[in-house]
Amino acid sequence: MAQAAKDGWGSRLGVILAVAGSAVGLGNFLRFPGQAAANGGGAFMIPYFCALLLLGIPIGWAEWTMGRYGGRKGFHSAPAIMGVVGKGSFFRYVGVIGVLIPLCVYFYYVFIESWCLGYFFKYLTGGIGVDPNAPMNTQATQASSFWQSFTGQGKDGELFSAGHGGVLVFWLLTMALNIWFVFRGLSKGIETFCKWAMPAMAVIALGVLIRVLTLPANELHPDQNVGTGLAYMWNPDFSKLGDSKTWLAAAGQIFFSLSVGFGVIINYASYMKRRDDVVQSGLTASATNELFEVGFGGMITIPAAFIFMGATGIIGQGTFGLGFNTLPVVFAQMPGGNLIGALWFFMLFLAAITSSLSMLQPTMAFIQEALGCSRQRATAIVASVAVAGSGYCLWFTGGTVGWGTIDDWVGTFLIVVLAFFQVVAFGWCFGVKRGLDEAHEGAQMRIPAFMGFVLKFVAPAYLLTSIVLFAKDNLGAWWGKAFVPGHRGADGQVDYNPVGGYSLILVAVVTVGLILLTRIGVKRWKAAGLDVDGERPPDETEPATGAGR
Amino acid sequence: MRRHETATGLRAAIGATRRGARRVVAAVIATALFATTAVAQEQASAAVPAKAQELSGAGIAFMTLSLLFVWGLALWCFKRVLSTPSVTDPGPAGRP
Repeated sequence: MAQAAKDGWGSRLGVILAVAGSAVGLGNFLRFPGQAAANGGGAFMIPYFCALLLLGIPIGWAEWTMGRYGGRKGFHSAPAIMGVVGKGSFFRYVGVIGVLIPLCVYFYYVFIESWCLGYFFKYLTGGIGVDPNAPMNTQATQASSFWQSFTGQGKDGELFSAGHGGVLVFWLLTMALNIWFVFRGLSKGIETFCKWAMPAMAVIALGVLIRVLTLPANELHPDQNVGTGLAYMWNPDFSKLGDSKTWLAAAGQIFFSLSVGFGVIINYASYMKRRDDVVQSGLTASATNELFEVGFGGMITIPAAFIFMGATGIIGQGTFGLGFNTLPVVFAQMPGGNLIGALWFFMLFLAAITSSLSMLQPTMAFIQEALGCSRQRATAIVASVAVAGSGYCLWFTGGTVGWGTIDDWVGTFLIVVLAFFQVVAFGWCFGVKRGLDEAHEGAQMRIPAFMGFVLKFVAPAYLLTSIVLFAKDNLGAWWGKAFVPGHRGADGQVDYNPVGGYSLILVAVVTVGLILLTRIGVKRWKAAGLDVDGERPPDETEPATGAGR
Repeated sequence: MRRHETATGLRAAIGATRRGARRVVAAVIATALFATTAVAQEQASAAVPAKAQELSGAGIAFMTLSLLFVWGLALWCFKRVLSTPSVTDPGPAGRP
């Protein structure tokens, strides 16, 4: 059996920045401000911080604790760790979702990441062709046309036709960078990169923030200035607090933003040592994410867009529309806009690559563990699967249906499902008291006792409610769009597209592969004498070598 | 025997008190949520959309408090992390 070099973090700061890097992504700068502005402005921060303190941070602590505990048992992959914590094969196979999510999300995320690199390059070399002297509508059309052409949204296979292949170069470069850093390993690759990239992102974000806050008022519309831009983002609309959707949106934003239920934290924490502090580390990683989201994301995107385009340029744009339609028009108007645009998209690229690296690592760990192969061989397998899956997303770009379907089902719905099973495994199978005791080992600070109640009752109830409401509202429509010819959306238009079905078949194939690998792994782990069902205390019986050896 | 019964009774009483306390906490949370929702719904009827306006006092307050919270929490956390050396575990993984 191949001998793999033992992986691990080089420093405590390194693992914190790696987890924070995983959490800080495009959503911090593009999704959060849109959500806040649409759901009550400043008033949105009430449910938002409630969700952070009562859901995000506690569930994060549970994941950190489960991960480190699984690592002490010699495991680093979500299926194996969930099997140990949940004490049996049911949770082991549920844990497959913890590999499925990062892998499938990586398929399209690396594509979006390559847009950021491409836009960065375009701004360095003169912009994307938005004429600042043209009427505002024309500028918006120019930005939108460039984005649609650059990302091949016109039809499937467009990126492989003549004159549209620019993004493929950036995709290849992005893919190569990701695979290189993951191949280098946790400490030399991911940790080293994050220790450089996170401070760089903070410095760039601070620079862009200062530029935005010192922008002059719009000459044609003097009422559109920094003050009214901030007002659009922050003036509270308390009426929104009476709407349950606001509370769900706030919890959803916290959830997706912190990377909980993603299968990443549990993997990263499994490389920590027994007395490494998971409580303070988890809190610090969450705090870093919040700094980028509220401190930078909340102050830059919406105010800048409002000054140049007013509320009409923001409403209904969505995450990617705001980033790739609206902001290019803003940069065209802004003095020194090309430089600020280049910095902005480079920062988004850094945010995206620190996240995408974290999506490959759980699969790497799983392949190594299940097959007992070396990191080199695991890299080759993971790279092949990643290129194939991402290649699918590159081909089926028409109307973003191909990767959009994966995002809906895997990147949105399954995250909540995995988080639910994780808190049930932690709170009900492992035991809250035992879990908190385990978390406190080596901890500088104690988790407040009421968090046990939150983890056992509040979080599962909230997540189950979300799953039910979410499934009721979306799954039928999603299924119809993918598999029911002639299916009509809420607007009465036919929205059936077979590509959605292909995407779900792709996800199903990957799921079956991961389940088979888990079965192979279980046989290996049992043969190696590892405690796959978490029946023994970790300190007395486990061999020093891990499952991947 | 009597001492044992007393202890058992005490434990049962403490358990009941804890259960009662949990119920009280749950009731308080539920009431607070209901009250918040009711107040917000009441305000909703008279609310005016606060878009395209100057930054209001409440807007400044929410923005300042939010920024203070996230910056303060991040700085406090990093100060603690950087001022405390990592605990090194001399033994191999899986050993005490």
